[in-house]
Amino acid sequence: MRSIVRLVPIAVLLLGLSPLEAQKEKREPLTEAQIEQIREAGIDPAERVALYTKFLDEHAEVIKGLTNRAKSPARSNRLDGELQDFTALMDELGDHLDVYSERKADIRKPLGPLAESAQRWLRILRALAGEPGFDLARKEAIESVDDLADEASRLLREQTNYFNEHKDEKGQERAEPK
Amino acid sequence: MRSVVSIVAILALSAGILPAGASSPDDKNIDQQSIDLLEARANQAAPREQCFLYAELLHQMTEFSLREYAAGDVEKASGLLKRIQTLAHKIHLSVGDDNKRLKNAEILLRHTTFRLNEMLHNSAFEDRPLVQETLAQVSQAQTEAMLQVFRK
Repeated sequence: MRSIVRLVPIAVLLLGLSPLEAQKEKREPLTEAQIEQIREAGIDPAERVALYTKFLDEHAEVIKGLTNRAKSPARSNRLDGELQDFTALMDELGDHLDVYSERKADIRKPLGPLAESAQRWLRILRALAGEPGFDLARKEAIESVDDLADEASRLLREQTNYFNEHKDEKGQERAEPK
Repeated sequence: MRSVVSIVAILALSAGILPAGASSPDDKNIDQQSIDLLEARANQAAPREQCFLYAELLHQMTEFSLREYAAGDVEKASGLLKRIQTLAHKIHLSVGDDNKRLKNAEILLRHTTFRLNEMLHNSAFEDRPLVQETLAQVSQAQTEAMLQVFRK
């Protein structure tokens, strides 16, 4: 009987706390309008990469705007959130690039602007002096931009070579089974 | 001890930790709203997830089309079949070699071809070309998914 008494509160706690924890950690880096644009792009790889680049640009501009504001706990908190969203979006885009690369989707068109933008984002993040309130998020964002910039440049080189050799596959959304 | 096990099992079930009883994929209560929601979800999903979600959507639309056809709304059923053809193309574009959900997508597509075959045999002569065309496209997507599963 004692074991039942012990188990019940533990189970109740687990059931009650898990959703709360999940709610607290879950951030949505995209607005409803941005999600709608992603939906409209649907399966189109080039369009999706271009959209993510645009959304990341918007986040980077917000971070840039906050950089020069007077220091305050509210600014620090806002920057922490913005940087986390920025990193989450970059990681999502990185995953997308992996898939499109495996499928040999022709995404050269948006890769050029992405590689250029990534360098600009890196400058914005480096201009932001670290503070305890958002330093971890800032470091993670810099690492993600570094990775994304490398991936975009590497993919652009690889795709340029690939589609020069496989001219009949230019513009494809995936490699057709042969 | 038995009572402890029972309590834990009841709590786990009520929290959805244990899977609910297996049900046929056709048992779901499918309507236009659930289809629209799933379509929105599939369109915005990560590329790795899209193949399975489009397969699920295609299956739901097939079931809905079957139901509408049986209810006498041939126009609605035909409209759904035309959309299924577009979806079959999206599945073709999103078939990847990267996850175990591809196998689930392939099973779902196989089941859908079976259901479309049933529809073909039960439909009126003048409605058959559209069903046949849809069946051919879904079969092609299923074959492609199956080959990709074997390729892994």
